[in-house]
Amino acid sequence: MMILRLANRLALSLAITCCVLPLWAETLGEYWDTGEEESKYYRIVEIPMPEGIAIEAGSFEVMPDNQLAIGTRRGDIFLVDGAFDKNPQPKYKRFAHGLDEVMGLSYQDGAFVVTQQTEVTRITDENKDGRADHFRTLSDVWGFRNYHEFAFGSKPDPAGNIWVALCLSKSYHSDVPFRGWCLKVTPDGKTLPVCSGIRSPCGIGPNEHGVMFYAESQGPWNGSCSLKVLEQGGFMGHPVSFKWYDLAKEMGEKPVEPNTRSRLLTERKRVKELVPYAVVFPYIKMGRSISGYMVDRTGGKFGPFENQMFITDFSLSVVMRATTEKVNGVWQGACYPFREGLATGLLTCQFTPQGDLIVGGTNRGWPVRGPREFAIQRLDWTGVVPFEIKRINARPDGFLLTFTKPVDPDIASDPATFSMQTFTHVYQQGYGSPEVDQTKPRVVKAQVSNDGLQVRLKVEGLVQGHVHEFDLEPMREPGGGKLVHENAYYTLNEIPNN
Amino acid sequence: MRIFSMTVLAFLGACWNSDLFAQANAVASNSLSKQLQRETATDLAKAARESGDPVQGAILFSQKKFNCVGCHAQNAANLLGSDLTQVGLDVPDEYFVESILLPSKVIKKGFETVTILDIDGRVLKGRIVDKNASQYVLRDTSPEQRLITVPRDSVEELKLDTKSSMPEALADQLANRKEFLDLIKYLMDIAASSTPNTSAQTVQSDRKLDPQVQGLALLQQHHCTNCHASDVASVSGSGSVEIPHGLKARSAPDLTLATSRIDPAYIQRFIADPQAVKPATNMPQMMDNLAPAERKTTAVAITHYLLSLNDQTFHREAVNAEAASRGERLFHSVGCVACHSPRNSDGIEEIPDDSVPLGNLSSKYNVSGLTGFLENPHAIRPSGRMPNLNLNHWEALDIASYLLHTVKPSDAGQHSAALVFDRSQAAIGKAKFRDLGCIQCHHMEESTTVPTAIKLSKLRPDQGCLSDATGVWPGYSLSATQRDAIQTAIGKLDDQLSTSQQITMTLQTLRCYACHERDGIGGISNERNPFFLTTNENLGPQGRIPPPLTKVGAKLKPKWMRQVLVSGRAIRPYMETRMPQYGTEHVAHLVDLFQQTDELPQVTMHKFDDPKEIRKVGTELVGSGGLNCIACHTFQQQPALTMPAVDLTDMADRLHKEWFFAYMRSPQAISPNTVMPSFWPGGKAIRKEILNGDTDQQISAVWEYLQDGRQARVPRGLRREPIELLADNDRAAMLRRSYQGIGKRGIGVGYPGGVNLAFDAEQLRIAMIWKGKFADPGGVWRSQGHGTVRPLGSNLIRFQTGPELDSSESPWVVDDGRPPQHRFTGYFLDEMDRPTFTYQLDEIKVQDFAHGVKGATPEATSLNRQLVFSSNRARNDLAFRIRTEGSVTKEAANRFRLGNSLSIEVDKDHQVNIVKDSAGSHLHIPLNLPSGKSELTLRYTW
Repeated sequence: MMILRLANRLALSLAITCCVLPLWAETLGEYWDTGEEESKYYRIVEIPMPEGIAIEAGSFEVMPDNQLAIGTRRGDIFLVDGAFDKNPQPKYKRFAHGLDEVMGLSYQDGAFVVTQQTEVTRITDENKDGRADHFRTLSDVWGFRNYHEFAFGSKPDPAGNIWVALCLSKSYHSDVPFRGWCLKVTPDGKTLPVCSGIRSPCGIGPNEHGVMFYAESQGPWNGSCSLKVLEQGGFMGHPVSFKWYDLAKEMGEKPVEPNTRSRLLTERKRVKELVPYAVVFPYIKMGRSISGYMVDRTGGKFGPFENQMFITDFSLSVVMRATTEKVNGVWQGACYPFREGLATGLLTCQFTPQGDLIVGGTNRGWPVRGPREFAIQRLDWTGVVPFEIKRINARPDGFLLTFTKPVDPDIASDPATFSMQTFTHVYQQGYGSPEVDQTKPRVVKAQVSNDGLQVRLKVEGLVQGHVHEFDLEPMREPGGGKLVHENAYYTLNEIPNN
Repeated sequence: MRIFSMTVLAFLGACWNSDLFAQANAVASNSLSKQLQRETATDLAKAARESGDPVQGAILFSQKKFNCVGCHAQNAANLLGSDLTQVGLDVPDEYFVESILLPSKVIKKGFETVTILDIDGRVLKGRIVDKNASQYVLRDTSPEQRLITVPRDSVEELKLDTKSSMPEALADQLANRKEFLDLIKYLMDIAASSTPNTSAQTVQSDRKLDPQVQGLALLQQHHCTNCHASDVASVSGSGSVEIPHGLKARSAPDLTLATSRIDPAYIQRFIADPQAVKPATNMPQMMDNLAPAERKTTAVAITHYLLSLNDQTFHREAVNAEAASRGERLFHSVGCVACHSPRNSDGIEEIPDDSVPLGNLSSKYNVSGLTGFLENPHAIRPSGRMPNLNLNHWEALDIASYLLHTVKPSDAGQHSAALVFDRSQAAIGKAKFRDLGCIQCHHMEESTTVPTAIKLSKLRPDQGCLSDATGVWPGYSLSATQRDAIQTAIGKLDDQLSTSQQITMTLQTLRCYACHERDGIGGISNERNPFFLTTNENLGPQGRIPPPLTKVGAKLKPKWMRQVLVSGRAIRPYMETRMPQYGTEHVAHLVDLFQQTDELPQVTMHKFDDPKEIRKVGTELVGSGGLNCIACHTFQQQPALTMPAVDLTDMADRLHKEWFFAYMRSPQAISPNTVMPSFWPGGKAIRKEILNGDTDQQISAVWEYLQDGRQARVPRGLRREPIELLADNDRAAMLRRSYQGIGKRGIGVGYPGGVNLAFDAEQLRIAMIWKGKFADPGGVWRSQGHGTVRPLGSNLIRFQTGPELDSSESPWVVDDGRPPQHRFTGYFLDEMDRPTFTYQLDEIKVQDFAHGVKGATPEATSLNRQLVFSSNRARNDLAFRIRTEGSVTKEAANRFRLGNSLSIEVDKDHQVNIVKDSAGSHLHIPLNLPSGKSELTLRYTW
C-alpha cells in the first residue's frame, strides 16, 4: 500500500514536472546562424491572420478549389482563400469548430477526415452552406484519459486508410488501450493495429518512397528525435505499450522486453520486432522537437530538393530536410539543415499547388524560439539555387554525396575537405541520451564526378548503428561560394552489403 | 498692451484656479482622498511604514494613470517634479502623505511652476528648469511635457503659481487605502535611499555634429568617391574601393527598369534640370556648361537610351481611394515621416525645410512602380539610404496610392507627353551617358567605371564642384556649411577616424539620428514627435519613441544587435514606427563598432553556491511575491495584462550584464523614457526579506533567472486575459474537450438563450447542465492544455457517471472507463449549430437532441431533450436512468424533483420509477422499444 502510494505520487510529480513546468537540462538551443544566407534562396512570406482570432495550426490540407484548409489546436477548421497568392491577403472562413486538437486533416470526395485527440472523424457539409454539419466518428477505439495523449493522423494512404500515431499517457505511461501504438483506420471505419512502441509522435506521413513514417521525439527509449518507419507488426522502441497485445491478437505475441542502458543495434538482435530509427535528428543541432513533414512533389518548383522530406521543428522554429533509402532491408537516411528563423513553434507543413511550403503552429505549452504566439508563414523559393549538400547515400565502403551545384574539383577531391565523426545514443528507459561511443572515421579518398555534382567518399572506420556527422566547412563552388549549410547527419543502421 | 496683458493673465489665472476649485468640489465627499484626509497624516504615515508593500507601490508609481515617473524620474534634473531620491533623509514620514493628499501645502523649493504670457499672446505654463540672461527654459505642464525656450525679451508677464503642478486628487485614482499605503511606503523607501546626486544634469543642448564626420557623410551621400578616388586607401588596408573611415564607392539608383516605373517625360525634364524638377535632390546638374537647348536635347537622348534598357512601357494607373486612405495612416506612422515631411489633408508638406524631399511623385511614378520601389528599395537604390521599412506588398501599395493620389491639375498635362522610342537617339544618349559621367554613379552592367577625376586628397577646396562656379563638373546644390564640412573632411583624410566617429558617420549617413539619439546628438524633433505612435499608452514614451543609442553597444549583445540591424528583429510590437533596414553591407559593421566603443563599468555578479537554488530565488523575485516584474512584462511571448513590456524570456539573449545591472539600479538614468520604477532606489532594496535585502545579490539572482531564457520557470502571478466562449444569438457554441467530471471525451454546448450542457461522449450521458454564459476554455486552450473547460454562468447541476441508456436489470458496473457495449458515432448540427448526438448500444441507435428553451424568467428557462431510438427488433430489457446528488421526489404526474433545484418532466408515454440503491436514489425510466423508431422526451427546469 505504501509502495503503491509512493509510486502514484512519483507518477504524479513526474507528470507535473514534465508537463506543466518542464525542467530542461540545457538551453533551448541556438540557431544555426545561417538565416541571413538562407534568405537569399528561400523567402519567408507572412500569411496574415484576421485580428483577434487565435489560429494555432496543427494540420493543413490543400482543397480542390485552391483554398488552404487549416485544422487547429483549438479545434477549428478554417478555409482560407488566397493563402497561395504571391502577396497573400487571405480571407478566412471558419468551416467547423468545437473539435479537440486537429492534428490530422485531409479532404477527399467531398469530406474532411480529421484526426483529433478523441477520434478520427468524417466531416461533411450536407446542406452546402459552407459550414460543416455532420460529424461521423470513424474510430475512437483508443483510450483517452490524459490531455497529453495526443493523436496524430496521416493523410489517407493509397488504400484510403488514415494512420494514427497515439502518444503515450502523460508521455511516459500507457494507461489506457493503445497508447503508444499506431492504428490504421480504414475508410469504412475499421481499426487495425500497426505497431507498438511509440513514445511521443508529432508528424506522420509517407517518406519519399511512399512508405508510412512518423516523427518521434526525444525522451525515454529515444536518445534523440528521429524519423521511424511504421512497420506492420513492428515495435518502435518504447516497451510500456506492450500491455495491449492482448487486445490485438493479429499482432501475435508481445515482443521480448528490451534491456535498458543498451544500444539500439544490440537490442535489434535480441528483439526481432524492434524497428530502428531511420533518420536521427541530433538533439539541438537538428531541432529538438521535430514535428510535421511532407515530401516535396512540386516537380522542382521548390528548388533542387524534389522528392525529399521537409520537416519542421517545434522548439527551434526551423525547417529541415531528410532523405531515406532502404539498405539491407532496413530504412535509414540523412537529415540536413534548411531554413531557420520562422516565427513560432512549428507543428505542421504543407506544399502548395504553386510549389511553396506553408508552415505553421503555435508556441503554446513548451518553450519555443520563434517570437510569436502563433503564426502561419510560407517559404517561397527565390529561384536561386543554393549551394547545398543535396543528398547522402550509403555505400559499402563509404558514402556518395550529391550537391545542388558543381563543386570545386580540387577542393572536393581533397579528403581533408570532409571531416567526419560518429556517435550513437544510449538506448534506455531514462529521458534522452547524450551522444556516446564517438569515433572519428577517416575519409581516405574523395572522387568527384565529371559533372562535379557528386563526390564519392571512401571512408575507413564506418560504424554500423552510428550517426555519421559530416562537416564540409572547406567545401567551395568553383567560384569560391561556400555551402549554405556545412553539416549533415547520416544514420547508418546498415552498411550496404555491396 | 501692457494694461491688457495684466488683465488677461489675471483672468486666465482665475480660470485656471476656478477650474481646479471646481475639480476639487467635484470630488465626492466619500472619495478616497476625502476618506484619507479624515485620518491624520501621522496615522497614515505610521500605517504605511508598518504595512505598506513597496513593490506594489513601485508598480503603482509606474502606472500611466498616475504618471509619477513622467515628472519624478530618478537622476533627471529638469523635469516638473523633483528626483525623489533627493528628498533627503531628514524628511518626516508625514511629508509623503501630505505631498499626495495636499500637494499645494508645501511646494518644494525650485519646483514651483510659473505662468508666462508672451508678446504673441501665448500663455505658457511650466517649471523654469534653466535660465540665463537671455532666456528661460520651461518644462511645460502639458501631457507631453515639452521643453520650451522662451526668450526673455518676449516675456510680457511672468507669474509664480501658488498651486502645485502635482494633481490634487491623485489618491482618487487609487483603488483603496491599501494602495495608498503601498505607494507611500515606496516613496519612503526611495527617500531612505537618498544619495548625493552626482549626476545632476543641466538642460542638454543638442550637440553639434563634428564637421569632419559631417563632411565625410556628405562625400558618401553624394557618391564623391565614384569619381575622386581616395589615394589613401592603403591606410585602411582594405582594398582599392574602400577608403578610410568606411567611405565606400556606392551606386546611385539602378536605371535598368527606370522607364517602366517612372514617366519618361519626367525623366527627361529631371535630367535637363534636376534641381528645378526636384529641389534638393542629390542628383547633380551634369550639364552646367551646356546651353539650355542642348541640355534639353541631351536629356531627350539619354531618356531614349534608358528606354532602350527594357521593353516595358510606362502606364499611369488608377489610384484606389481606400488604399490611399490606408496609406495615409501608414505613411504617417510606420516611419516615413521620420525623414520625409508629414502632409496635411491636402497633401501639402508640413515640414518641407527639414525633410528629405520627395518631389512631385505624382508626375514621376506610376502606382506599381512606386509600390515595387517601396517593397524593396535597395534593389533600385543600392546605397541603402532609402531604407526598407519592412512593408509587405499591400502596405507598399497603400502608401504608393496615398503618395500618388493627389495629382495636381497643373501636372496633369505633363503626364501625357510620352516619348516614341527612337533607336538612333538612344545610341546618342548612351554615349552622352558615358561622356557626361552619369555612368560613374549609375553603374551599368557592361560598364567598368573607375574613378578618373582628381584624387580625393588632391581636391582644391575652392574649385570645381566645391565652388559656386559652373563648368564641366557636376553641379551640386551645397550650402556653405556643407561645403565647409566637405573641405574639413578632405583636409583630414589622413586622420584615422575613431570608432566613435565611424559610428557617428554611419548614423549620419543613414539618418539614424532622425529617430535615435546618441550621446546628445539626434533624436526625434518636437514637430515629428506626434507621428511616433504606440498601440499601448501604458508604456509611456518608451512605448513609442525609438530607444536612444547611447551606450547601445554595452546594452545589446552582438548577435542580437546584428539580428536587429541586418534581419529586422523587433521585440516591441506596440511601437508603430518600424525599425527600417539598410542592407547588411551598410550597417553590419556597426555591430563591432558599437561593441568596441560603448562601455559600462564592469560588474561582478554575485556568485552563488547553488545555481539551481538561486534561480528559484530569482523566480520568486520576478514573481508577484517578489518584485512582480511579471505584472508588466511579457512572459514567453504572452503579454502581461497591464502592459506588454519587453519579454522577460528574451532578456538573456539581448542584454549585456553590465547594462542590466546599471538599468536595474536606476532605470531612468539609463533610459529616460521608461516607466519602469526602481526596485533598488539609490541602490537599496525595497524587498528586504529576500537575500537579506542585498541589492547586488538580488539583481544577480534575477539575472541568473533570466539566463534560462525562453525556458525560464513560470513565476508566480502570471495573469492572463480570461477567454470566454459564448453562444451567439442564433448559433450554439460547442467545444469537445475535457470537462470536470467527464473523462477526456467531453462535448460542451452553449445554446442561444443561456442554457448549457456538457455531454460525455465516452459514457454517453449528459454530465452537467448550467445556465448563463457558456464556458472559459482557458484550461485547455492555454499552455499545453492540461486543464478542463470551466463552465461559466451559474446553477450548475452535475449528473453521476455511467451511461443513461443501459440494461434494465444488469447495467454496466460504472467505473471511470468505457462501457463495453456503448459506442459514440458522432453528431450532426441543425441550422443553429445545435448538435444531435448519435450513439449505439448493441444494435440500438440513439439520436439525442437537446436545446434550450428560454422562459419568461431565468428559472423558467429549460432544457428540452428528445431521444429517438431505432432498433431492428423489439427490446424491453432497457432503461434510461438519470442520477444526481440528493434524493428524488415526485412533484406531479410525470414531474420529479432531483436534489434541491432540478425538476425533470418525462413525456406521458413513459412510466417513471424512483429507484433507491446503494448509491442513492435515481430516476429510472423503463423502455419498451418496438422494432423501428420510438421516442423519449425530457424537460429539465432548474
